[in-house]
Amino acid sequence: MFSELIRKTCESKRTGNNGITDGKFDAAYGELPAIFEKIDKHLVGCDVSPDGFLAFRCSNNVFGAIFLLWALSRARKVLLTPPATRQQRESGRDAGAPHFCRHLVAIEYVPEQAKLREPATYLRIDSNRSYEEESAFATDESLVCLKTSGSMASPKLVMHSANSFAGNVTSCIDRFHLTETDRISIPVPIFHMYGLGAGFLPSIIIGASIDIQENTNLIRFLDREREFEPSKAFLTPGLCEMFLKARKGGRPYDLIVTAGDRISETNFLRFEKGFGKLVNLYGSTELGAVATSNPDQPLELRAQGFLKPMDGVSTKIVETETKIDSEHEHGEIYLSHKYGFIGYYDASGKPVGQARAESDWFPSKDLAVQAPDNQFRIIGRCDNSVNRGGRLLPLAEVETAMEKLEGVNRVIVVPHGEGKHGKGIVAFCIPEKSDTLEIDDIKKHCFAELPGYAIPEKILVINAPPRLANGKIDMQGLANNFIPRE
Amino acid sequence: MIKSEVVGQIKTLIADELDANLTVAEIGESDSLFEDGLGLDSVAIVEFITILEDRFGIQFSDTDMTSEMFRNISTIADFVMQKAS
Repeated sequence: MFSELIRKTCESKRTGNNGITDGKFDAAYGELPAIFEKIDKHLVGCDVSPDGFLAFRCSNNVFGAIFLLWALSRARKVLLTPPATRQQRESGRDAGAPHFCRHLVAIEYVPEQAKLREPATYLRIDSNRSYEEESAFATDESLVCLKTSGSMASPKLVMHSANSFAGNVTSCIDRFHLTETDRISIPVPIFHMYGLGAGFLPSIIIGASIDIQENTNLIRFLDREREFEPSKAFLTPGLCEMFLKARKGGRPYDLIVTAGDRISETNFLRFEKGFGKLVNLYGSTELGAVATSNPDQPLELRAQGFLKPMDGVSTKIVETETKIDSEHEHGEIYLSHKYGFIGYYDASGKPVGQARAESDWFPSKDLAVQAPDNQFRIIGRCDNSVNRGGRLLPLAEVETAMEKLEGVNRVIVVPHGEGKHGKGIVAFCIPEKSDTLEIDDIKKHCFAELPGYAIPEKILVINAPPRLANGKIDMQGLANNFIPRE
Repeated sequence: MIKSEVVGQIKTLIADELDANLTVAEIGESDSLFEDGLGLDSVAIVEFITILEDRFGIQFSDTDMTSEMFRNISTIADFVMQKAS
């Protein structure tokens, strides 16, 4: 099915000269079929079998995008991982691909020598030394395997059917009102579900113009914004916060989508005032895009975090021990998605846990409050709650209460050690730009806003939290490295 | 303002106030700020901009924030001197 969708985009007259750029190289959609044929020939020349799993270190540039689209258009089985780090390249040692991957593919090129129509100038192909014949997937079905981002735990291998993936993609096109006239900026990784399933593939299938950015920072983003003139963008909350901190003027977008960490209500309102309609996406590597702020709803409701499920998604709230002060039903949100994953697999290609059916309920480990019109609001993580004072305390509630203090931009609360109420908690407070925060003031605010058992043992002020490569906050890094030893 | 003094102040600012794990001696005037040089990540760059604005009493508009302007400390120092004069 993907092969058909990609073919339609490449042949469509309505896409005109649209295509993919990364600021250095460009590929129009009409050029892709000929490039794909060159890749076919190149892989045959490299003895790559047509049915083997490929482990692809996917660069966030035009070359990475082209190979990824080739793999989908040829209904291949592909595992997507980030590009090798500088350390890995310099040491010559790779982390190693799973045993079920027969070949390793990476983008390596010398800028002056790389030519889009000559795959040998940018595709590096090696046999996987740890390949095991017995772990190969005996199926003709096209598969896409992703690694979870692992912000709180170790990454897992998540297997998707490419055809099921396509359903996820189509619902994003509808929800974000993507059209071929859009110019879409994607500075997030296309080897993770958000960038791939919500941003890149929907934009490709609709035939929009796409700007993929590698190693984004605010300066590079602004360079590209001036040159590419995007109408829509897929950002992270971290990048949104950088806009608010450093940009003086606004720049209206038709739509900005963000996913990952929570954006506070205050920042949501400020951001949209300067940069156009903001929509928060809730999803996972396992299920793809699950729900978003409703773009058709007023700003105030979107800013409060109400989420509308995507087509094909069902939700139910399952009661947990956690009780908060709300008149609405709340608990752990379970999700069922027509276009969800096949299951988790290990490096030997064996399923981990029970096989999944389409109708299976997926426990999200997120706490949610039910809202009218089948909407819901995420209030925290089940595994980001702690037992204190005989109660289960969602740390997100502490964060929300502390963020009400003037001058506080964001609060991140992490469990740490033991305290007089039970599990200890430490609050990291990030001030608004040019504000200073006094810890005594923050403590007074906590005593006014929070019950005794919810007040953090330690309060620290930091300028910015450490982040993982995917942009999410490095919670383990905060807990391990930023708390002074006593 | 003399350029060498501004360069020195910027180097000290990077060493002392950013979480970049760099000493003044390790910071070259012509070194790239990014991953091919000093290795300032995206968060550090925004902090750097904010601190420069506070320290030198200047403001970077969106059009000021370009890769060319932020190529290295020397180019930033030129900008600071131009804005502050």
